Amino acid sequence: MFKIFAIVFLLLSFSGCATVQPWQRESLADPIMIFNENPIDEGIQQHFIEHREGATGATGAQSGGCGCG
Amino acid sequence: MVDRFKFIAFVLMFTCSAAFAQSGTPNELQFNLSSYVDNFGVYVVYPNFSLTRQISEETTLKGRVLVDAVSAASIKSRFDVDGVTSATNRTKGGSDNTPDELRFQFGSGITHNIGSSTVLLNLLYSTEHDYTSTTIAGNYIQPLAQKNTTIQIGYLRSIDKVFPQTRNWKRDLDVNTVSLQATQNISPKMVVQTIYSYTETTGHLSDNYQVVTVPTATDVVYMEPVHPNSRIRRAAAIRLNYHLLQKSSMQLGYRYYWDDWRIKGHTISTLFQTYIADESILGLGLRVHSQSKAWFFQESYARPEKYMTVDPKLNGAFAVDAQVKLSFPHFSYKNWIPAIESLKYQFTLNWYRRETDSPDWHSRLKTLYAYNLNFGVRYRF
Repeated sequence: MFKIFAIVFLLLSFSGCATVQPWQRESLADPIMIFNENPIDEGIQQHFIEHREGATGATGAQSGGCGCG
Repeated sequence: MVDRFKFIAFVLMFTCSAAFAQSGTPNELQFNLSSYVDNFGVYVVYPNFSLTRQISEETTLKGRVLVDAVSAASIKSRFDVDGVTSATNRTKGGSDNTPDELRFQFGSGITHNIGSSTVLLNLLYSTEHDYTSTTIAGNYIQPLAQKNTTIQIGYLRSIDKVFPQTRNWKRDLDVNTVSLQATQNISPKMVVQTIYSYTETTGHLSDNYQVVTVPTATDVVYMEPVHPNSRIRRAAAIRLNYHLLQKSSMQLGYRYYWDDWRIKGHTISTLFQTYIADESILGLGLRVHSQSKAWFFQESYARPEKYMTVDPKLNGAFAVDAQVKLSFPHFSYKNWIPAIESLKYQFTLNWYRRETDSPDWHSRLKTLYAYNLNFGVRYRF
């Protein structure tokens, strides 16, 4: 799985060659295009999930103090 | 003594916040009031405040306070513990019982730009009557390829102390997480993100408020769960966001999780967002998750074993989470609600359903239904 992720990660990193110019980024700058637009809200959701599922991580949100083993 | 410390910390936090506000122009003050209720009889209300303030062109400071107030019907049962949250009745610690348990969380952070790079440092302290957690998290963000690519490297260390009120010992729990994240503009309308996280957890990983029932020839005995004292957890995720129909977006994501307790998890998520009026956004989300059980989880134990658990998080499960969220700018209503242009409101409602492979140890139910409601106000000035 890690190898697959590494390949995808590298492909994405090097796909910077397919440049989107600054004047083409109007849609990308829209608030609805932002992952985790409200980190606090995301952190609360993540905290809730950590208490109910054993498979967490790689969500892009940080939470803490949950004592979730 | 602990309550006095909490009070002083609370006051200090707001004093600091006030100082930030007076020394310049804060970016954002955010207040959220969240609530949780489920069919296992658990009620949680958690208000939280957050203040973010840019103190210079390069540096931003953040402070945050969160309070969890837990009330659970099952706390009042024979086990004095909530089977879902492991919240415990504070009456055992000599406090009152309204609510059943309180958790305070204090956070502070600094974001500093160095050239095109950004460094983030966050500190988090959480305390309750039988658990404390101190977390430090750092992130380094580097944009590349004319800001079409953003690489983020993160490290998180959490030092926790576990001291169940029904025991006379204090044990450690250490968490180390490394994460790697890449965000890439694929086209003028599509952005893709990949995330990988690796977590090592060592120390006391059992939940001493849960009870394993083991039958004997004539009766049953109640035993403590025993989990391995280390765990390595990995997760990899990919998600994309596509701008469509000029004022909408569709987010799709997949996450794979695996650990050395042999839990494997698959999560698919989607979020559709659209403008329903100027600056008013409606979001509809759906998340589906399935996971296998830990290798030592059994529906029942015929005899005492080296490792035993009844924790539903370690059981095989299938979960669905549906979300509706609405954010909209300021509005006024007669003279009751004044129109303040910098205000933005947000409502989020989550409906969560989790079905485990075998009944929950405490409620004896296989299906958990939960509602999570959040109301937030963001004030930018």
